[in-house]
Amino acid sequence: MASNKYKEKMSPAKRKSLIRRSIPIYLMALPGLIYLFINNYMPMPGIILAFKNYKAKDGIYGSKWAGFKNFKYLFSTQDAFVITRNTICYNLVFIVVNLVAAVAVAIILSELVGKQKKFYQSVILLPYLLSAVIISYLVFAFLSPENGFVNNSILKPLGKEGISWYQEKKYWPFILVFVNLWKGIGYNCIIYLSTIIGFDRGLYEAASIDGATKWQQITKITLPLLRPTIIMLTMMAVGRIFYSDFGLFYQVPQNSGALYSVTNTIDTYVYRGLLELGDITMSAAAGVYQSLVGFILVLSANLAVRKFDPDSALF
Amino acid sequence: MKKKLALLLAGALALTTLAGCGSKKEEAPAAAESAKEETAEAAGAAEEVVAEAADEGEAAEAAAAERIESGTYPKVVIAYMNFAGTPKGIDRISQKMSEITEAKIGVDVELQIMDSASYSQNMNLMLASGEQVDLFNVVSVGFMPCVNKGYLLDLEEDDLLAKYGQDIIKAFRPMELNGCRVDGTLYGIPVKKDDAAGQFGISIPQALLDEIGFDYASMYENEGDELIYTDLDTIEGILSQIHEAHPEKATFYMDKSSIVSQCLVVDMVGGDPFGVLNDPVNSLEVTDLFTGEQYMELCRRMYKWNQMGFFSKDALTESLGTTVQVKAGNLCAYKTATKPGIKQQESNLCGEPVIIFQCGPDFKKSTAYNTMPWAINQNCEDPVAAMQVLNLLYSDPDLATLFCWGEEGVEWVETEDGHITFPEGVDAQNSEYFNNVNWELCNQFIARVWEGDELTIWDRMQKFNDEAEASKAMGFTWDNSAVSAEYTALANVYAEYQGQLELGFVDPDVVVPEMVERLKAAGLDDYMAAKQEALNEWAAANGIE
Amino acid sequence: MNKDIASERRFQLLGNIIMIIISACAIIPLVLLLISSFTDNDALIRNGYNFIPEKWSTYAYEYIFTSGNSVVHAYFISIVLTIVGTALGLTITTLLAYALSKKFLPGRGILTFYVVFTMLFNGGLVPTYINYTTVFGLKNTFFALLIPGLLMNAFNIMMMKSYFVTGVPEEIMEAAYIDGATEFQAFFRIALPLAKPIIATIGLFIGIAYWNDWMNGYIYLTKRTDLYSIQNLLNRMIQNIQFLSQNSGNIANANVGLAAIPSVSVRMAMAVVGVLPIIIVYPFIQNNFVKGITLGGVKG
Repeated sequence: MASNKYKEKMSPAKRKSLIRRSIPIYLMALPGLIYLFINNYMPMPGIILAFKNYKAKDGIYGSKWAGFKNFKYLFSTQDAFVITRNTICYNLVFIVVNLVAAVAVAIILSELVGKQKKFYQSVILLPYLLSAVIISYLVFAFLSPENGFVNNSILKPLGKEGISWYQEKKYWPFILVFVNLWKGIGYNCIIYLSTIIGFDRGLYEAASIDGATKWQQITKITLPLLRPTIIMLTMMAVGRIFYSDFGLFYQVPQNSGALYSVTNTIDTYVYRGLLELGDITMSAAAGVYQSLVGFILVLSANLAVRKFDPDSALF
Repeated sequence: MKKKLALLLAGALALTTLAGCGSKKEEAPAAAESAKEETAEAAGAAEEVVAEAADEGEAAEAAAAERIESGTYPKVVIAYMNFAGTPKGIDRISQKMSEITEAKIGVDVELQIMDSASYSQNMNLMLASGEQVDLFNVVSVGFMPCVNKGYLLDLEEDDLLAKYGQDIIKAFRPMELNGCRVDGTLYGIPVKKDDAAGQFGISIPQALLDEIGFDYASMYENEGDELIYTDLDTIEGILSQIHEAHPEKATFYMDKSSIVSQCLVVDMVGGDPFGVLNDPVNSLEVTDLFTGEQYMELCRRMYKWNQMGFFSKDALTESLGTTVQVKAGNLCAYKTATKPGIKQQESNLCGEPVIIFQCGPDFKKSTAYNTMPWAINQNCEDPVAAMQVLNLLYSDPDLATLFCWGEEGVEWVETEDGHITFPEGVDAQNSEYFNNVNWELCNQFIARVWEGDELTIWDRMQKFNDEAEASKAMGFTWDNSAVSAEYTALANVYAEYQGQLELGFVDPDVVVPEMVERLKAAGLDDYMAAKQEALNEWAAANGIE
Repeated sequence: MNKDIASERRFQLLGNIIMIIISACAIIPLVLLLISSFTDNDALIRNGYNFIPEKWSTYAYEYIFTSGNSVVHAYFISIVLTIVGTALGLTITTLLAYALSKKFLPGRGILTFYVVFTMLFNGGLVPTYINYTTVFGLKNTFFALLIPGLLMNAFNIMMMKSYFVTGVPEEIMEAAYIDGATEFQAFFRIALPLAKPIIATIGLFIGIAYWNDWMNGYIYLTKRTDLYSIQNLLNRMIQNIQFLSQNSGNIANANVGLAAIPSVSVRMAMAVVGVLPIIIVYPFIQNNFVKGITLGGVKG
């Protein structure tokens, strides 16, 4: 809206120069836009698969409509509440915990002097490179009831009874949050770190001369400057709030039945339910459901952000 | 339709009776036998049928001759799954197979072999996208899901099977083919394999039994028997002695996902445990597995064994195969489904001789023929060629051997006594075509026999299949697409309790009722009712009481 | 001034302590992974994972590098894929992000929405597959590893765009225009050098995504085993194990399959082999962060 008004008031000469300046920019954008078109928009109409009664002969678009039948299984069960609750709650906790930890580590790393910071930075990224199954093996190395470290090397010397970790659900919310943090902290802090590095050092020098303490520099300069990045990353995470990291919730608890009430999320539920059915329309329905909720949340969050901080809005 | 069907079967049977006297006698003894029983019925139509069958045989020859003459061979793509992914020798074997198929029916074949992890995904995508794949095994993709999505061709469309698949008809009894019918339409051809399974087999290394001084030798019913038939109390006695001698090892373990299917004489109709035949040999009544006596007894037994310390504390999360654990020295005894040749197979896998006990009967479930049939893609451009290739795979020993074991001189050589084995310098790891999935490859019964198995193994297997107790619902296929929402909920509830109950980690008298309550809330009754209704309809249509 | 130094010293001490703890958390399980890969397989199954194994063995590595599954070749594929993918992906991401950062650009809001929308909705696996195989014929080609999904994503574009907005001040760009620079010149001479930290970061993200990806190979490679990347080999192995342990009820012979799959220590060794190159390459990427710092200094 605003830009329209602006355009109307422009003089012809200015508009001409605007067009001249814009053409190269459009050219730059073109390859990326084409890629998104091929990769994302061309298959997009396939979303209707979720509303179809698929028959191979008729293809995706020719098959009969099924209405919302494919969605039924997501809502009609007693588990619907549990899986929705788990998915959202874990994601909310992950968003907050990961944000705080990543920003804190990024700030520390940016302020440290000496060669060791390079080492820290490399090392904390490593867990991110492991696949979920390997992580599940490592977690198992610590928590195995029979041979695990925690039971054998920590609890036993303390004279305590070993814990059947994979049957006790009370520990798992903490374990999962920890594993998620452990895995992602190095990766998550990179983006903040590179943003902080880009800040104008002059600001800090000036503040230091004015007698600001380190803590004051962090709270008065770094954090405010980081705000747009934080808002943007958080909003993008909100868009994925109905998705869960399948590996974390399925592999890491070793698919242990006793833990389902705290580990079953939308993705693991769909996986277990459709394992034998192999129904592509039902899994498409789950995807549409997750996308739609994310879309609505991001739109509303964006609307709110645009109100009080238009520069940080996504679009 | 039905009349046509009966005619067709009669034709097949009559043919088999005739051919049965010939050289291929050993290939289809069962079919011949059953044919004798049923020829009386079809006697009236027999003459006519033989004449018709001859015509149909000509159709197949004509189609082959035409292709060979034209010199342009259509290509048939054959897909199946193995455990390790596309083998190195795939193109060479495809070419060798093509040499046979070109000469006999004027068709080229191309193999597509995918590993078990990606097979279902890849096949679904290929079938949905219309890529060329003509013949494929539906294992892991699922027979009913394939039918529901309309992936499979009606094999009797335009008399396809009757005209071009005559040897296939000969290789099976009508009942076996009927196992792949859905509402009367034939969508698949079963594999020649172990159709029955000895329930509740227990495998224990011989060395361990010797160590505790257990006299197993006198327990064989006949000399030279492969198995010892016994009961769970005896096994319990053995296990507790072993446990005493080796407290550092896990005494017993079962693969979590196969406990009900390999231990109990219940027919999980349609392959899921929600509504089963608890008395499958006599009754078609769909009842609840979990409140049934058999399930409760199993869980109580396992709970007891767990209390006695037989299971590792890690059993619930175990991802290793049983024999791998035995080989590593971590496990003493485990459950296995038995079949002819099982003792040799398990001994090979464990790396030491084992003794196999069996505590249940040999039992054949209603899903025996439709878990992994071969099918033709509905999208197939030349179904006649595809059917003729399939026909050849079921009837040509050279082609079957190539398909199962690879090329002579490269993947295998003949031994003095008529077995085949690895050539020098080749082993399971570096062989370019060693899939270990012959139970999936059409007709292993006519292929060469690998060293280690008896040469007569397939005769014994056929006898085993024929003599096993069979479920009354044999040939019924269960389409749960109308209750798929209930199914997903039930599957999730069961998954939550399955391991804990069936490996005895929780008290079944407390937990089973809890699970049943949750299953009921998830729609167990509706699901069972739907199953019963479908079963009744099928029984009525097939004249089964 | 003394107070400053004291506060600085306290911060450094505390910061180092925190980072040492976090690093230890990250590194200890990895040491365990490394040791497990050098542990005798049977001992591993018997005793579980141990920092001091009962019996050492290099069998897993011998198996990996000598047996038929051609790890060296898979390494080569992974490396080529990561280099080509990162170069291409980074180029188109940077160009698009830069364009979106231009406040004067007509239709910027719509274009941004066009990008963000892809983050929230997708056509799903089946339509994507049909698109790439039937329209573009990517199946069983190297391009199937390179193009689907990984080349560019909305997340990276948005991150980079926001950096261009905040980290490359409009005044500097305007100054360049006044000096007579064209759009392209301004982009290459001014914007790019200033954006080095974010370019290194996004490059790292894209590179990791390519290195870690197994999904494309899993879906699009059904015949060309010579195109398997290292992650593909590892994941197929692991997924086969999972398939078999889930399906032993349906497939009576699953047991035979499970026994045929490489052992536990081999899985660990594969994981080590998969992580190793990043440990080697990462320090070089870090140098770019450092360059970013010096540039920032000059700027101030």
